[in-house]
Amino acid sequence: MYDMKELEKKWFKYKLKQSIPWFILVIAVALMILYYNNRVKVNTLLVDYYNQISEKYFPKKIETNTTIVTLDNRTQVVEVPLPLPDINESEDELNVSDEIFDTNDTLYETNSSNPFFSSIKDAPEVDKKTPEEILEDEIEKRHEKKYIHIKKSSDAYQEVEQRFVTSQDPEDALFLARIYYEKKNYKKAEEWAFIANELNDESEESWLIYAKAKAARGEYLKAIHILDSYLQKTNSLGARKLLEEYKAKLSKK
Amino acid sequence: MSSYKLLKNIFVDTIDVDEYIELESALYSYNTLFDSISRPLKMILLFGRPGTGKSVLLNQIYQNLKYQREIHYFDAPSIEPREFFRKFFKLVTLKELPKNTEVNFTTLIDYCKSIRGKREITILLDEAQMYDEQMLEKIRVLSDTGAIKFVISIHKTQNEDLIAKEHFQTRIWETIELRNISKEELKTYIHKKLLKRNYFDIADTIKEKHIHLIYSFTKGNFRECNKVMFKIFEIYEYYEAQPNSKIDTKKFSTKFIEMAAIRLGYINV
Ligand SMILES: Nc1ncnc2c1ncn2[C@@H]1O[C@H](COP(=O)(O)OP(=O)(O)O)[C@@H](O)[C@H]1O
Ligand SMILES: [Mg+2]
Repeated sequence: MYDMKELEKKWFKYKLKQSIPWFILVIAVALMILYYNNRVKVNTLLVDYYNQISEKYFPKKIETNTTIVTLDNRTQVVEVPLPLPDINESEDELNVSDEIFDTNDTLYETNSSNPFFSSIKDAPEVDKKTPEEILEDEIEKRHEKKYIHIKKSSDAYQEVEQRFVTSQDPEDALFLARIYYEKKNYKKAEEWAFIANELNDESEESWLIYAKAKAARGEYLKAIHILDSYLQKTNSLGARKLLEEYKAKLSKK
Repeated sequence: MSSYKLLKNIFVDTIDVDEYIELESALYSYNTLFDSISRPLKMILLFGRPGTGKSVLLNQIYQNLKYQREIHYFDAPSIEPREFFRKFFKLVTLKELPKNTEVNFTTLIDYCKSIRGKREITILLDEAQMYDEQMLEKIRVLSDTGAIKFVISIHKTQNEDLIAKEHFQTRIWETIELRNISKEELKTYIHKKLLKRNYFDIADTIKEKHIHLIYSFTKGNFRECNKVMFKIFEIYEYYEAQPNSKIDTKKFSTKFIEMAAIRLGYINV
């Protein structure tokens, strides 16, 4: 008989040839799956990380209208923030609430390394909320209680408040803290000081307004605590003066 | 003797009537040819690719009709026209041609004319593509006498069928074409062939997928199919003879089909 070994070899070769396209296909599919899985993994990691960061520091962007404006033949995309939900349209004067909040005396615990944050955490009315939540709360409250009646169109700080949503500028937050403090809206002043401090804790003014706002609402203990922790970082004269003042006031009480 | 040796021999080419398998297409061709022969036709052309069963059909007709009518089967054509006419002379005149004499074509024609209406002779000419023009012309003249009916079987290759047809165009009254069989019929063919010899078990192992594979190589051509089946069993026979052969009798080997196909050149490696 003819060479069967040779025929067998040829058959193996044939089988090999036949399986090559399948082999390639399988490898290609495997590579694709591997690539896809890894990309998804990397992506989810990135997304998680991004969410962590952005949740902590930045509120979710408010939806914007995108308008395409043509200027000297170049196309630019201009983002126009959507107007905030309507607040009370009445033209009444700004009305500051004098409501005194409950003071929680168990706050004076300094085992936390950063009492500024721990005090915020413990503060009953200012939970550790994202600035966005704070803003939302505020808008809600304005609807419910009408403590603040803002002249909508003319007030600069309102514009700044809106702008801040997109700008995330610590200077804007500080400006708002300052303005609300001046307007004796201590709760809002405190909130904006907190936001400003979150964005830039080097800023002395944010610490001081925060403490002053607390004190203005009668929470001397907290104010002292805040100033104390700030003084551990710096040797601010203003902070020391305030601290003395509040300590004196507290002892008088 | 190895059963595989017997098995492979089932698929040796043969036109033996005992090996005839009644397939639908074969039966149809048979009936068509039978009808044509029964009618007063002078020439019938039977054509188809090599291995489509022309010889088998002619032989089948011949064996079935030989006791009913004057019918003669000319298988492989004699290379020498002299031989052809010697044979022809004998069956027409029923006399042996004396030695050292040649058939005079004109007298042969005259003789044929003389028997017209008295006798009806049918001649089955297999492999007629091998006759040259001159011979074919003489055949045509003989059929024109009205006493001889010719069934001319011609191999149809890609272009030849046209030539064959052209040559006889004016004389041919009927054309029968044989084609390759379908996959279904191929299955029937292989199974019936095996069952005829009582190889039930083997026939049972040959499944649709094996038929599919065999069909893909042979395209339903009888001769090609015979070649493949023969080769497959030959390979079986070889492996069976090996010291520690591991032939699985429960399953028909796809590998052996492919090996046979490689061996026969259907697959180029
Ligand atoms: N009806 C049939 N039954 C059994 N075997 C057949 C049949 N038709 C064809 N064959 C097989 O096919 C082979 C080739 O057929 P054949 O008549 O010689 O082809 P062709 O003359 O057209 O070249 C035969 O040897 C025979 O084994
Ligand atoms: Mg033949």
